[in-house]
Amino acid sequence: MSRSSVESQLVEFATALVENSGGIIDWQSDGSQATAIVPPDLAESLGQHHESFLVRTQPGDEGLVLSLGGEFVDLAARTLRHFVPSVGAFAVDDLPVRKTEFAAAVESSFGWQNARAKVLDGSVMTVPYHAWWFHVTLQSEETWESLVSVTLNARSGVVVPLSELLSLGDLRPTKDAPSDSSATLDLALHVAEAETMRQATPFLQRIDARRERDRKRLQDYYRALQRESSTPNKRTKTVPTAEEIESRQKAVKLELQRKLSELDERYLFSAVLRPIVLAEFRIPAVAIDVEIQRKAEKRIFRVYWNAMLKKMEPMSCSRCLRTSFNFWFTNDTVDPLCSTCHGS
Amino acid sequence: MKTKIAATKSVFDANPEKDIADDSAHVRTSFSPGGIPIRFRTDLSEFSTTKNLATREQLQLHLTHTRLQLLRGFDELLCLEGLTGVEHLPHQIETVRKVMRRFRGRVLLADEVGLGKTIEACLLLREYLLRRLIKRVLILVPNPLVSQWHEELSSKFHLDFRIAPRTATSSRDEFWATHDRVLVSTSFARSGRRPEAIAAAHWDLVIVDEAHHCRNRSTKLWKLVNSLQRRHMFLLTATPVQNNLVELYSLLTLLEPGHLKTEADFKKQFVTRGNPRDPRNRHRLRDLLGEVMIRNTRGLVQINLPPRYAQTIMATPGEEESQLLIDIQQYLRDQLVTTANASPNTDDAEQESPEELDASSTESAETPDAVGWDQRLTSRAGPPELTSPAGGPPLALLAGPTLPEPQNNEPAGISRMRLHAILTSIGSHPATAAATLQPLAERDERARQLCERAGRITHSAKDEKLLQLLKESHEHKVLVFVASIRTLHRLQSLLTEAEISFSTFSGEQSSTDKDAAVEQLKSSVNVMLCTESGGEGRNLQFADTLINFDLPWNPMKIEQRIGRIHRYGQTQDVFIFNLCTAGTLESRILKLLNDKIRMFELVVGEVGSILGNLDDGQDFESLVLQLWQKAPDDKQLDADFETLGDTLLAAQEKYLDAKNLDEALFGEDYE
Ligand SMILES: [Zn+2]
Repeated sequence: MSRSSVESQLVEFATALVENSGGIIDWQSDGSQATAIVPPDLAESLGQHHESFLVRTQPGDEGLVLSLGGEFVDLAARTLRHFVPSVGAFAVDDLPVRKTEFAAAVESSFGWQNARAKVLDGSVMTVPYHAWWFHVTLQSEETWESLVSVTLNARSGVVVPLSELLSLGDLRPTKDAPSDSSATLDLALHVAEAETMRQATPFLQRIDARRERDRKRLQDYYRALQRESSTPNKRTKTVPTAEEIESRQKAVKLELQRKLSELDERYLFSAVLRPIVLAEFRIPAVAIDVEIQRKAEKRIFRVYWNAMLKKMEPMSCSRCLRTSFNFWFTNDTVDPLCSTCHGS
Repeated sequence: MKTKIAATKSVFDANPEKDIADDSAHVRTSFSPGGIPIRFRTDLSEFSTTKNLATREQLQLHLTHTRLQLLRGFDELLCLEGLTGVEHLPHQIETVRKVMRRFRGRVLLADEVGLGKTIEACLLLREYLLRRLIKRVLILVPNPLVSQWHEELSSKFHLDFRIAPRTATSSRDEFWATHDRVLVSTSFARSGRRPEAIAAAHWDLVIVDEAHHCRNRSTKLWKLVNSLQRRHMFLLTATPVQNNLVELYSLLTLLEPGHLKTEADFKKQFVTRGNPRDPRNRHRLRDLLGEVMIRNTRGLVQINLPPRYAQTIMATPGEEESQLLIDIQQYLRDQLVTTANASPNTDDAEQESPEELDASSTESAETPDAVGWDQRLTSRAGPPELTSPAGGPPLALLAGPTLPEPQNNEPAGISRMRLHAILTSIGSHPATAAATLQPLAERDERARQLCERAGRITHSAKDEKLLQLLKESHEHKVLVFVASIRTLHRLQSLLTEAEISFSTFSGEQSSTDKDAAVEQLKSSVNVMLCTESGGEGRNLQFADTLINFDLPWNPMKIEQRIGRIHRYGQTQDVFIFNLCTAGTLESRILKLLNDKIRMFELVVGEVGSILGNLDDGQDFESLVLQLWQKAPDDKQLDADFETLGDTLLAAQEKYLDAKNLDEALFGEDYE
């Protein structure tokens, strides 16, 4: 068997991990093992007693063994947490920005259903976008896991499809740490939860079906007991009185309810979202203010033309946070509503 | 009127829980489609707290790490890439995940028949190998199933296993220590000095198919499996309990000793006194079993295949063909008598390699089925050397009162293999019979005449029936199966003459040609001629009709043919036609399978369970051949087939009993 893709991923990962945590690593020409030389605290984090140790892909007594089965993945988690930052900030330069046609862009992109809109002004600026990655674990009787990413315009909170920038984009590191990250995290979590629900639908349905079957089995069983409560005692042949029947049936009913709630408890889903990485991308954009007039009330909204996507970004529904280009507005506060929320 | 800033913030304001970044106990509740609450929580403890900003590579490093964690979680299976023709179904994938994650590689796979236990086991095997979690693997299966396992491991999963050779080599420790992947029949493994040799080696994984044979702790097989040094073990059976619950205890004790405590404890806790088939404390038992056993049922998996209809079309041969059938069989019988009475020295025994013979294009010299073929025929008596080469006892029916006394052990002039080839060829087509008789014709005048007569019959009775059937089936996509390549060639000319367009799919073709043949059937023609290997691994569910032009003697092979189209993904009703010439051995086999075990109504997979019950037995083909050999006339043959039928029926009843018991016992509790 040639080196499996998992094995090459492990080798590549371990190499980058050591190098990014302040150590050096030197692989033998056949790629079967390497020697790592690292600072004492890194050695300790990787579970090694010496500053110089072997890194190997095959099981062995000494050194760091790269495998999914052993403890390597956990050691790596600890090391990453202590030695490798997980927040980055980058700028995307040299993007052409067309400021002049913004009014037309707004008008052709958006639909304002029950309000008048007036495009006020547009200005070119650099806008921060926050790309969050979450490790999502969904647990019931079984476990489901995924890596979910959400990228938001940190100014408007609108979701934009830009997470691929981290691997594909032409990025320049910047010196300023991202700002407002707790606000975007909050919103990104909300979106990630919705995304989790979408991705995990087959899993959820399977667990649903299983719980349903278990419930039915319990109900059938206790229903049978209910029916039996009026039958005479086999040995003594005595027929139960009406009170006896009633109290027996009551007991069976209570027991069933207890069993069912136990069952429900067992099937409860707990979902954990762990933020893994935050990348801020500073991207040129045109910020455009639009005045919305609904009856007597007026309100100004800011929308963005994204130079990376080369189009207008949508707005978020004030109720469900879903993005859309098509809005209704409330009377008093002129809150934007998507067609679903408007209809309900 | 609000300011711009306020307008922008309104989006954030809509989220009621703002301060989650300071508090990892953020909880929000959603619901599954079926209404089960889902509590969402955020955990910031893993989020790196270093002050520096990360480079792009460092961020990627975190993401790669998470992906590795997902891989470790076995949500992404490595084994699914690069398979050939394995339609892995959702429940099978689930099972693989469960076994890796929850069961830590020790499991009783007890799916109902036909749901693909073998595929699950092979996927798991591959996954473990790819992840380098295991290296040395031992697979133990009943003798009648060895060749099928070997073939599937190789063709579908690309895993080469060494079949333990039936030589002294297998008794030596070195063999088991030096080969990393060994496939061996249970009956062979447990006899002679082999148990010690196998137990001396260390195994990463042991797979036992039809594991209910290990249900009794006093048997050699149980002791063998129990003595093996192994890390992981998969036990496979659709019917873990055959007679009583203690069997389950024995089985699971092999898997996880102590899991069910002692036998006395187990009986006390879980077996109703006076009725060993009736469990007590079902919930507790269910919980305990759930930790070591997975059982997928049809009910949950919802594989509902469309109905299947089978029909036997008996072709009555014309006088010439009919007489030929009688004469060839008589000739073969006379040969046997001659052989039996001949002195060893006068016999010019042939040395035939399997390849010279066209009995079955899929037979390979390495399979255990082939091992017995080299033996010279001795007499109608057959046994003892015709019993399983592993040394298992002969089947009861063969030891019955009708059995003639064993005679001498003289080498014979006609090998079992040739006898089998000739008998199957006359069941296939006269043209094929002629070709198979040819080598004998060169030295025997009687054979030469028979050969010539067979060659003269240009249209057999079945030919006519086939043409008629194809004309009636013109709106269907039809697979015509033949066992022999010569018959295939014969049918090619037959269809060409009749101006019926067809494609051909045979073992001798390249993979590209095979794909092209399937494509042709899909788009432009309605008939595809197939040899035994026909369609293995290719999606043929668009076809709805299967014609068995001839009939393999091995029911597993017949079932494989049916399984090509009557499987997951088939949406239309399936029609099966068995063509058969009256007076042939095939007509008896067909009658047996049809009347006794109603084979054509069985779920695909059940034949294996039935034959698997003939654990110590030979493969079915050897049995049939043996019956023919020892019967002096048709009347006796009828009686012997009746006995074989009863044995099969008993094996089926044993299977059905266990199946019903297990269904009642386990219900849908262990999916
Ligand atoms: Zn909405």
